[in-house]
Amino acid sequence: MQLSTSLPIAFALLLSSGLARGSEPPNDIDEVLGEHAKRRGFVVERVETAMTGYQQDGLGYQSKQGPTLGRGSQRLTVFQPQLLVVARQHERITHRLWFPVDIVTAASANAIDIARKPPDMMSQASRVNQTISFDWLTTYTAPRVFAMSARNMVHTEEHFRSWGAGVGATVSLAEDNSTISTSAYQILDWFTRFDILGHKLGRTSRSTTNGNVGFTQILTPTTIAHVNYGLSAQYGEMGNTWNSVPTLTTAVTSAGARTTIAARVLEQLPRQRIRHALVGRVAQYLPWDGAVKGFYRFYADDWGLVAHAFEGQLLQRLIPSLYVRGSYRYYTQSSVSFFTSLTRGDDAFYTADSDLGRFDTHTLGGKATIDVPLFEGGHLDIGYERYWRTDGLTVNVALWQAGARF
Amino acid sequence: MRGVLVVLVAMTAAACVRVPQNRRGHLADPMMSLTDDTLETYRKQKLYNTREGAAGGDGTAAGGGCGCN
Repeated sequence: MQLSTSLPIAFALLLSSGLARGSEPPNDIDEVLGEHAKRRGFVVERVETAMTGYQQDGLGYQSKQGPTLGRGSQRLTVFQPQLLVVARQHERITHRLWFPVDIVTAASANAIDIARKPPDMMSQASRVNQTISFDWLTTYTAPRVFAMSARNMVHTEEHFRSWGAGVGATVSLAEDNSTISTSAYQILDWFTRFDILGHKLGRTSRSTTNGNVGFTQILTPTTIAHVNYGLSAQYGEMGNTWNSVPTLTTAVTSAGARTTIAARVLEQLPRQRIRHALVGRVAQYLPWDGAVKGFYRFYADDWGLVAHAFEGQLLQRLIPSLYVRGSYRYYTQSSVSFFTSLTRGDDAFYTADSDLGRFDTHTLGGKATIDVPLFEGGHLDIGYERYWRTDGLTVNVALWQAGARF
Repeated sequence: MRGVLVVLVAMTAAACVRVPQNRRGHLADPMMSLTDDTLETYRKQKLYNTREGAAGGDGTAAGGGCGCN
């Protein structure tokens, strides 16, 4: 009964969220949130900032920054500043505004038009390619058991645009001991198509439809667990359009002799991909003011790729205002069925993208979180992670994050 | 898959257990958060989804614009 009356109200408020100034229904949320919740107008409740730096090195067959039949450079540097603001518009409506930015310098994309002078837009952009996203999540919380949200996303970079929208709902059961959540997203990518030399060939697109259902359960006063299943269906151009595959072709010399020469051709990918992912998480509080967490993810898709990821985290509070986290992640994947490091060009599909090959990865990291008493909920996080793949690719990640509640 | 089924069955059975709100103090500790915050989630996606073939399907969008490799 409660749900049936809340849904129309929620939709109306979400659609006109900028104008929503509804009357104040008396209920228990006022008791929980107090006078703060009764304020009208936007009230900033939380601000978070983060800066992450990635330094990648390694070799991959898809990169042209190397020998024609060998692996090219995958050297890459990314600086990633982020800003997140949570504002309350109404006692039941909050907005989360999030601006992630990536500043990417990539070696392999720079080599697209290595024989072309002057370099075209793509290569210029790849030297320093800024990507900016804007993500707006509006959440309506109904009395006691129900919340729903609407999300809009925009992403832009030199040659790429992306738009996304989605809705989600959460229902709490058994005095919040159990929570069921669902969400659905539709994303449209629209980007430039290049040939193997970096010439622009117009625009192409990709559609992603994603649905998720999750279940969270409090198991004991110190244990909580979560499972989630997600399905993504993608259609359209699945590659970045400039990944190349080594090949051997036959040519005729001026003397009339036939000779074999090394060359590269564009990868050929199916125009559809169906992805399944099943995730399990569990967290256990430890009596010495610590916690241990476990994570498992199973993934399979119709390109033949199957993957497993395991992660463990150990957290320990050292003093009341400081806790540290150590983490290790192991990941293994099979290759897609059409992966190759040398194609004859007569198969329907082929790729040399090292991300789609068979490999294992390890990630070892540590993070410290310090409470900053200048603000309510103020904190400063500093961390480092080392990621390495069995095919030689390595990434060093340094991170910094600070935030506060108001 | 068998392990996943065991976890599902265990959680379903555990749903019969109700922990009262006044005994959930430890669960409210930030260390016990089951999911990372938004900024850390994005950081992890950037690290993993652009370097591994198993992106998406669990509440995150697959694909994206990064032509890093």
